[in-house]
Amino acid sequence: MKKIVILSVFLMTIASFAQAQCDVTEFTNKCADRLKPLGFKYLKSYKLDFLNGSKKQIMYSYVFSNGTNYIVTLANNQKDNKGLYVTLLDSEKKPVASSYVEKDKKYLSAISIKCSRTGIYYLAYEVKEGKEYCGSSVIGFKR
Amino acid sequence: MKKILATAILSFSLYACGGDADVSDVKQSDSTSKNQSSKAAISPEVIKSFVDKIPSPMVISSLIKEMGVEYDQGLLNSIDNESKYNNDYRRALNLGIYSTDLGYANIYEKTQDATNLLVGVKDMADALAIGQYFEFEKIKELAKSSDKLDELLRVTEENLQEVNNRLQSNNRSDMTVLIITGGWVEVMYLACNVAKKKRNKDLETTIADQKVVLKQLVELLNYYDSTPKMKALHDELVELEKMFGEIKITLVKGEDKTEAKSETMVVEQGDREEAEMTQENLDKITTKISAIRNKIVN
Repeated sequence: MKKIVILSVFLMTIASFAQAQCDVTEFTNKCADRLKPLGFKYLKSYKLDFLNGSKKQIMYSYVFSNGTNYIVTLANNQKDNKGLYVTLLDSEKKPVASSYVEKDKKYLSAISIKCSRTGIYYLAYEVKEGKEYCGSSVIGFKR
Repeated sequence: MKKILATAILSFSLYACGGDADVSDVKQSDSTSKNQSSKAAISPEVIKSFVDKIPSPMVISSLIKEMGVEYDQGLLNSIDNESKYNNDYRRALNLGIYSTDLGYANIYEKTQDATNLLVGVKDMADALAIGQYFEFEKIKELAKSSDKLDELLRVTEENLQEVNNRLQSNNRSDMTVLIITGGWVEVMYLACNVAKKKRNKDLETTIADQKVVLKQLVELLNYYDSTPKMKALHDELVELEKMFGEIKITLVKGEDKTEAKSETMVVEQGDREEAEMTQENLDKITTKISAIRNKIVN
């Protein structure tokens, strides 16, 4: 009986560790905290769990409205969200902008857009380098 | 040893499912069983991708406030109507309606109305067995402080997102679709009635642009056409969609400009869409959306 209990506790600990691997609360707060100083209101958050690298890209879509400013903020366990970036694509899945600046090898923490054409926009999140496979993204808006 | 291993694996499996342990607590909606055959054909990922892209009604409510339009309590759904919502179909739609009204009242910092509407949200959510995912006390406290509007909007949105995720993972995506549809119908009802009282180009453009969202809702409801009530709602929205098709929209082409400023990539879109909404367009859409809303709330 003792062995059962010990083994169960051991396995539960492993399970607990596995579940806690991508806790994005802190990252979501970090993203959301950036909104207010820039005049944006919270709209939606996305958990970015790349499953330890087995997932190469996480894609979400959202309807952006004409005349509204949107900001897509990013955060992971790195101070400057190194490794994590987002590409914004239009309704035809044509890239509009990326938070990764190739020429400077720099990861920006957000993309902002003043939408002048209502439609479905796609947000493609990827990890380019490093092993930070857990992060968060928050969309904010202002008129 | 085999027994030990089997017991341990069982314990592990039960624990690993801990995140969804409350699944069995969530009751099946009364439309779920009838709708099972059609639902089985729909991938949950497809439903989720549709639901994820529907914008929050808060965007339009914010625009209404920023236009300088006075708050209109008369546009809200009365809490007295609650007793009429005696099945899950009506509860889910009116949960969406009350949630939009709550957001509208919060944006205008109307604490008393927000508190009343929160009761409506809570009652509908409890009746749908999803009340446990709303942080009612926290929302109530935040609604009392005018300097906590941002946090209030965030908690409300996060709660709704959680409810939708739970419903979808519990095979009750029909309820999610109805909550979202109710929320959209209500914000359109608010916007159209405000626009009728005080014509405003920005608001009219926003209303006209809702055809994109309406198209998504029509496609979503189409998946549930084996449920008569949802089929009827779908057909109403299809009629509304035709009215949106009558609005003239011009696309002016241009080049996108992007520039890295500080820590943000700033995009200035080149393409620009301009909607020309006539009084007739607005009248027809307002009448139709009011009729749809009337059926939902009364």
